[in-house]
Amino acid sequence: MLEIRNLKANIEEKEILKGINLSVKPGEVHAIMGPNGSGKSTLSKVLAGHPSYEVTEGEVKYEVNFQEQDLLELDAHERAQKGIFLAFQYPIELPGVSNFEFLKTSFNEVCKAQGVPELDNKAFDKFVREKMKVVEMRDEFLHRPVNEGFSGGEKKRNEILQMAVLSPQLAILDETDSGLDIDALRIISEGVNKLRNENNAIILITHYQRLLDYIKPDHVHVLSGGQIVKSGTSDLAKELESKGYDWIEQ
Amino acid sequence: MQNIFEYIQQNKASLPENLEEKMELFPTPNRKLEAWKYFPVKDIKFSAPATNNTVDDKVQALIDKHKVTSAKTLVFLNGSFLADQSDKLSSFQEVKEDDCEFSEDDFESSIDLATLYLGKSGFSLELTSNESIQVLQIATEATSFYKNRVVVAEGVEASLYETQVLINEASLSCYTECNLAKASNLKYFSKSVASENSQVFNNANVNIVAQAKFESLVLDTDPARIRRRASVNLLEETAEADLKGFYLVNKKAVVNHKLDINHMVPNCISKQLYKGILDDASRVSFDGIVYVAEGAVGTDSEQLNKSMLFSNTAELDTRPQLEIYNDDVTCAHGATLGGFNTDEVFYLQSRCIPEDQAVAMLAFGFAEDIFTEIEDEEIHAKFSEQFVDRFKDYKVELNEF
Repeated sequence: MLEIRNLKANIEEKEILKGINLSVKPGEVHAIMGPNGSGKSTLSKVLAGHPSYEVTEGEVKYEVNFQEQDLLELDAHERAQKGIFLAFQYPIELPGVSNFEFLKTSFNEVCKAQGVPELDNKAFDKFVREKMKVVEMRDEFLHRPVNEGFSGGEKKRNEILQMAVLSPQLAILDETDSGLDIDALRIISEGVNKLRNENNAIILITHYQRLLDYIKPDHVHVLSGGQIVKSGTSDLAKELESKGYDWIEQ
Repeated sequence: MQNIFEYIQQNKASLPENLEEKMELFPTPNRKLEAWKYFPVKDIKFSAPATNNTVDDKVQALIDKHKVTSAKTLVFLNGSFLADQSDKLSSFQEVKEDDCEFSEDDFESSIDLATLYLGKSGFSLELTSNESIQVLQIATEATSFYKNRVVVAEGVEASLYETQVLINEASLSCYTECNLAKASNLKYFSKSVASENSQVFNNANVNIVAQAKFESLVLDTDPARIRRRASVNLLEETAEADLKGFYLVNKKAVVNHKLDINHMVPNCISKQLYKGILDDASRVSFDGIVYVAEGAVGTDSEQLNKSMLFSNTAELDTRPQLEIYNDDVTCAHGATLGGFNTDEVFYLQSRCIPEDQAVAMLAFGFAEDIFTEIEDEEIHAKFSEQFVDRFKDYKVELNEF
């Protein structure tokens, strides 16, 4: 589904990604761990198409509907329409934009791109209320401005609600566990697990093993200095938890 | 177009006695006056009062377009009241030409006096029950002068929705006196729909007593020259005022908000939130003063102006000011200036929304944050639709923050 080869990227002329190689197949969950500043969030933003990052070398092939695409050729919204989803570490607040309108517009943009009929307010209301159950979100959040006045946990739930609405093929969850209490972590993890299936894939970016207790990864990678320096199974995450990142860098 | 002062001089015989001399008692707008510093006074061109009150097809179309069904509507055309286009309203009386019994204490300039004496009409509303009223003023030529009075009786909750529509090179000048009795509430919404060379001058003098609340929300979106002045007097403890405004302006638009909020007694609340977007060579000034009198302890006041500049040639002058004569108060004032940043737009793009639509959504949210105060769905929609319609002409460059 996703093939990253020798990906290098800069921000403000500073090289952050220094040759990433990663292969993700349908149905897989990949965890990417690493110390602060290793390039984890940069990788997620480059894959999602943030315009501030410049790809200087490498390629990213993305297969959707049995067609291989050069992901780097697409604008951010086109990548999203083709099933790339980034759950933000720090979700943005959008004052004055209701969550309902935001979700409906996003959903209907995918419909438009796929050439299927868009949903009107009534149909979307029914659809989204079902999805809200996935992350145990209360109805009142639907008509509040996007993320405004939400707690850290509510913002993260809202990200997973967006994932549920858009049903992405490849979801990149950037430190979705940060700032969550134990209950919120459980609810969000269960929500993500409900959305997992054999046709989609997930890249989990995290510092900690605790998220991986809930969402079992098939592969764990350690990112350090802008490169994947070690890959393994879920045992690698446990080893990192006990030995720290210094162990990898030695 | 003839200057109003020339008109008065040439028509002395038909005008009230001593009007010309009286005009000299009030300052004529000029750049040396602090209150008019940010308004292009040299461009002010009042003409003689408009006279044409014939409803032709074009005017009828404007009336039909702007009338709402959720309120009783009073229609005015070129300075005259149109009874046959208006709803019957027992709380309404037309202010006649010879009714000049208005307090001149809060007159800001000779324009107010001219409005009073040259105005042939206006509305007088004695609101004794909860009701919603729309005042639709259409100007197609020359200058329309209106003198208005609103009295909200004790305990009454009313809303007044003013729509000012100007075509051609018409001008409009309104002086409105507004008194809120104890525990009353007036929600005042006003929006202009103005052609490129038109002018709008609104001056309101609002008096609020105990437990009463005055709420206003104004919208200007067109490349005209618009000045909105309000003098709001909080006269008894627990009086409250909440003023909001939005401007979306481009080309050579001028919008000037001049607000004088006077806390005369203890324990009153006032809030001001004015937001907007400027493009091209437009100019906006927010000039607000919160005055807290000696002895007005426990005053709670907020004043905030938030703008976005989309062009290097647009100009914003913002002056949120405080004048406080005692220590025991809570007064906040501030201004922000910025634009939409890449991260906000990227967030929407990452949710499948193309960049231009993402920017429009953010801009709409910036305005809707204020419009959301309008409970009446039809009026809310009128504000939102006008914003969306005008924003189509705006091109935005994103800022990296």
